[in-house]
Amino acid sequence: MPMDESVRKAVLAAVPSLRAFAISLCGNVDRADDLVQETLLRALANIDSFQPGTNMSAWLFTILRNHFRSEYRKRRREVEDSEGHHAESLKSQPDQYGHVEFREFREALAQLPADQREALILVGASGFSYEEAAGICGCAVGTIKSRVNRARTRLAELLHVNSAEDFGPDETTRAVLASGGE
Amino acid sequence: MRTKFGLRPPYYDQPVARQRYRRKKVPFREEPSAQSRVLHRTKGDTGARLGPRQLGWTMNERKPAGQQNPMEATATRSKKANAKPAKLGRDVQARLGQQLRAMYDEVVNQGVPDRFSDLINRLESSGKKDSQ
Repeated sequence: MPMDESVRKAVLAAVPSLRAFAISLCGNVDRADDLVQETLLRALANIDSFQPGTNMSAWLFTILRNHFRSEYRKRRREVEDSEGHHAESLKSQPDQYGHVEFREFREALAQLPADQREALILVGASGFSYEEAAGICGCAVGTIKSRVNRARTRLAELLHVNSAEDFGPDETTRAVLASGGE
Repeated sequence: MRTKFGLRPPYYDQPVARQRYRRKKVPFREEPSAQSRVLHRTKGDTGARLGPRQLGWTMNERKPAGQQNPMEATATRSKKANAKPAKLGRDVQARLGQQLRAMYDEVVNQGVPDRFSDLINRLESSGKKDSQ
């Protein structure tokens, strides 16, 4: 399997955001890392099908997404009987990575439908254009746009956000801040 | 026939012609309604005269302000409430985007774990051996 130095660099450069995408897809660091590893193995085995000059990270994201989809379908069948338990374990996972301040946001994100979540992350966080995101998800650009839109709206609903002031310190902290200021 | 206005047309004084001129043409109805009797009163009609009240005509009364059709009022209000979440303010979108990126970048900033750099290096070296 001959590998160009430039290809190797491009793959390595894509790994961090690939991980971030995988974590936001499945909400579990260990599973996400497994997903990234399988993606890399698949990608490097089929490196010939990568067209030089095209976007390496978009190519890797496509592989990861497709792999996650097929695996997720399989898993869903497996865990169907212990649905409640599985959901519990998923819920407790986000604490493993990151601060408490984002927990609410992560929980809201986890409640979004899978297609809306991935669209929002690809466009809103990974920095892909609508066209690239449509290519990764294998759907029309308009579909991505409406998914992103719905995801944002739903997220705002779940977080009970009506204006930017609703972000930031929670009620009690705000009360303390207000009383301390006077 | 000569009048002070000049010569009148000869058919003007004939009764049939007079009737034809006076009568308004209306589409034939089996039983003319009370309203049409008022609107199109014909020569021999001796029916009782009916005022607008009897005919059920009412004036266009103005409803007191603020007490418009309650159904309509709630309809517009609920429409507004439904429309509101559909369009998020720019500030809200920006904050959502910020949080999303902050969460994402937290992972990105962890860089490439050794696990993956090792994996890629291993695959590459095994690939070199295969190709040699």
